[in-house]
Amino acid sequence: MPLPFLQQVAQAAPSASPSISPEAAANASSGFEVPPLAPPALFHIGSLGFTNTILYTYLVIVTLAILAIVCTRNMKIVAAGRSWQMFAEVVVNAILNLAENSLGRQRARVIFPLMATLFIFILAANWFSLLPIIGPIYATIDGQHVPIFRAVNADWSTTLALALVTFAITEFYGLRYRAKEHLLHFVKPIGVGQIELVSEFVRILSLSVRLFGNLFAGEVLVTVMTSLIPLAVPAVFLVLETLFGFIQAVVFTVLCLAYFTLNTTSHHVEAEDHVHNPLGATPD
Amino acid sequence: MDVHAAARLAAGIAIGFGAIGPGIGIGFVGRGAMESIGRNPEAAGTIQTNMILGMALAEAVAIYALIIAFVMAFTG
Repeated sequence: MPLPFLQQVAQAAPSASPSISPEAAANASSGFEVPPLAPPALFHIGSLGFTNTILYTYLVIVTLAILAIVCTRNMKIVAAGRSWQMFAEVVVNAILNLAENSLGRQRARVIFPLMATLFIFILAANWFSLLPIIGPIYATIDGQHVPIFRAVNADWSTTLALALVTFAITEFYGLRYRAKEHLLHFVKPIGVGQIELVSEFVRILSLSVRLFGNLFAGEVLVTVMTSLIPLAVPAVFLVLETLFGFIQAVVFTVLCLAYFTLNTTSHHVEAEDHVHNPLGATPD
Repeated sequence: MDVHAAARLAAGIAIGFGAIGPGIGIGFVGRGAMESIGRNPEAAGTIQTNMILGMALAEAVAIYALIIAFVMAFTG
């Protein structure tokens, strides 16, 4: 559960009537309801809340699984021009080329599965969060209106999980490819090494908050614009959100690749390995 | 000034100042990309992709400020 203090504050705040959530009461004067930062739980399994984000995440996963089955059903060596297989090949090839261009064939195949998974899941989740089924379908739980679906990446828990997985895997391969050097560069130049160590962990925060912030801010932006000028104007912002959803998926994927490249490139063999950072600079 | 008013004001100040740096940064990225495309129009495709990446990275800083602003506006 992200930001537990928010919930405590929200519960502590006096609400106008028991049927309206504290956030709704706080925003009632401005005429629109901004989605809360912490997702409400639909039901509890033990002490674990099953939130509306998790439900929507499963919807995205099931959709992607069905799409994958459709795309890989009776595959041919040469795909037909307008087939599902062709569609899948185009997407997968684009990501593979991105990895191979900066890592070379062998190492690209190592990080490719994670990259492709991240890209496809984040893109699907971002575009799913533009569907109009998110707002209007709600359940009444304890007298409060709780939407059944919630944009997947507008919940910090999801993006934090994605960032943690990326961090863990890139660190694992860092240790595997250049074990001693990887550990040593956190220690060696006293001062610089420690900053390196901190910047390594800041990656988790920057990766997760970048995606979460973009999606959450986009959701709020569309909500505000819809309530201010309901005619035609929100469409412009929805187009922008479609674009941002794609860009953020690309950014997350490329940063995953960049971290992998930085962590697995040994400085002693760089000349013969001929590897470069896809961004050309050190991102943090 | 009560706490709620102060929190709203702080939220406005946070995003206002937080947007200055990324704004300048995105401007630099855009200028660099435009100059490069002007010098080498054939590379426009690659430059545009990298420009959007750089802009998204700069924009993320503004997003951090926005999150702080949201937290203050919602909880205050």
